[in-house]
Amino acid sequence: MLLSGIGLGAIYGVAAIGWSMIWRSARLINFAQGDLSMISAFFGLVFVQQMSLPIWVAGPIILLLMGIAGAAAERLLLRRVMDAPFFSGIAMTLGISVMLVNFATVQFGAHSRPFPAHFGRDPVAVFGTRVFPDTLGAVVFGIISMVALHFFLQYTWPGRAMRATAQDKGAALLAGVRVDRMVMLSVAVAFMLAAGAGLLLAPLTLVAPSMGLLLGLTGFTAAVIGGFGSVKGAIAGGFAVGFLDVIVTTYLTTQFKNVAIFTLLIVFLMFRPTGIYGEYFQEKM
Amino acid sequence: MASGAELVDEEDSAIDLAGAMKRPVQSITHLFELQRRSRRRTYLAAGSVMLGLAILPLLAENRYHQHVLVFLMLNSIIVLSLMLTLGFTGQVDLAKAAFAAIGAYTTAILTVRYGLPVPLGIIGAALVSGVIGGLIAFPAIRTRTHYLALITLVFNEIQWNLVNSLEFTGGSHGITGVPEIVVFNQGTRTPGRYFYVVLVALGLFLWLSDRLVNSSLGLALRSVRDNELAANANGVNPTRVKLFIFGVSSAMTGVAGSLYAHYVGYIGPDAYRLIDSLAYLAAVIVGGIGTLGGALVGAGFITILPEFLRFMSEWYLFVFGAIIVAVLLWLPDGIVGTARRLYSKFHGDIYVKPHQ
Repeated sequence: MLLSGIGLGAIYGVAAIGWSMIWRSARLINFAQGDLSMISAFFGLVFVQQMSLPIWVAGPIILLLMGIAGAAAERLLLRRVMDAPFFSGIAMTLGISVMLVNFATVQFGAHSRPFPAHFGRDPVAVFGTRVFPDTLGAVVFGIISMVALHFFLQYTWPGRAMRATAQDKGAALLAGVRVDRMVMLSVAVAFMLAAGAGLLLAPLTLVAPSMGLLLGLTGFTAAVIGGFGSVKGAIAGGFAVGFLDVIVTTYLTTQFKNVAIFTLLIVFLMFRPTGIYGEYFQEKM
Repeated sequence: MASGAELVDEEDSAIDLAGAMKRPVQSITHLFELQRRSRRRTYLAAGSVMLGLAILPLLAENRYHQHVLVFLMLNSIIVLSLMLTLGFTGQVDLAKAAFAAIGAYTTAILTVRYGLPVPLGIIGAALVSGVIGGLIAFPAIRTRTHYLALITLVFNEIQWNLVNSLEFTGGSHGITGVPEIVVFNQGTRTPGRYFYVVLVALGLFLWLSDRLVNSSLGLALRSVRDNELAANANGVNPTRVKLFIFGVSSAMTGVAGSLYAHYVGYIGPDAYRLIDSLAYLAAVIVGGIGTLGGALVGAGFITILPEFLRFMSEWYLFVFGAIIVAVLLWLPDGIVGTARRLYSKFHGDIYVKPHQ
């Protein structure tokens, strides 16, 4: 059970980082973030089941596709809306969300279906308990992506450029950073993270067009708890929510899980909107 | 506040709502807006619109068309309320459907379970919706505005879950037997008649909204939307203003919901879903943020268009989302906003944008 918590936590953490990144770079809350995970999961389904591609091939392809989609979305759609009053951004991402969900519903049907396991179906014995290999996979890949992302942001040139852009666009511009490219890159990375979260989560739960909303809100909760805009915070928040998820599901009913997460979200929003690690945001003037 | 004291009234940096109405904010923008549309022109336009709406049911070909028209009226009220919060104050309220449902359920419970007369049911609906709206908005208003969007989004689901599972609200079966509104001893359940009932309500709300928007409180609202910090510096209390308008808007939506219940005679959890909330948002955007006429246009958009798109049955939501995105990309002022902009350009007028 502990490992399930870590596994889910890793997934939520990855999703939460996606939220944070788009917020930091584009000053937008991407309501379609969860639906991106959902679309990725469906693409995974198509690739693996219908085209019989192994997941090792399909996964990176989907990640790449989503990255390109992210760049395209930023350039074509989001850029127009970044400077407009904030409700334009919200409405835009909501519109995209509706389109994605409906597209999936029409293409694939509204019912939920299982996703084939990445790593095999038989539980594996680890640390004295038995755990599904996909949970382990989620843990491993989740942690790998987080570490990789951290490394990328901290030590590589593009990563630091992205962080600079997120902190202060004007200063970054003066320092010679191609701010528009960096924003595009951030959005693309966020899309890829969403894809990763979706693909990792898919074998663990049923895949349906409506799963985007739930994953999105959970990821958002994680981001809020950890402090919106902070990658470290997103990770911490992700694990917190992951554990909460597992605990509530095990000891209470599954229905309650949603209520518990939402309540936590509302509590945090009311009393500690900056989260645990968060930076304090000034209202955009 | 130490410096700039002459910009801020003496008692407090925040003015109360009654004060806001007594002390109009003087500014060039205010002057332009006052001059731009004289009262008479407004009433003329409004009158002709109402007249046009009033003859609509007579033009309808059959009962189904009339039925759709009734929903057009109901949606207009809801979109109008959302226009007040979103269009004029900049608060993203994604839970309009939930509040309509609350209003409907309240009046249903009051009239069916407790046998109260219909007018009390409607008033109760307004009160309950308004209060709940205030409660929901309160935590979000003091934090970032995006949070209100999330909270209301979540609230939709919470409301739906609650209403679906509670015995008190009839569970998944809902409540049946909601009485109809009786005007001058005549039943009003037929679409042709009920249209006028809702039209009267819509007219009332439109008039109230117009007075509100063109008062100094309305200017305060718009200032909060455009630049909350500056508004605060000018003596507006954003929190109170936002809370007030959110409550009023929720109450208005509650009334619309109660009117729905009295028309259909039944309320269930599926009457107002999350998609409807998003549709109302689309209506405000397509119609034009910051315009009252845009509320009607937007309501028309979300009520009439699906009928035409019926042949696309499965793709219709997709097209909906696509239209929202398209409007945001190319017609950011909405239909009415763009029309006004073009009209002003044509006349060589100064055009005061509804929003920045």
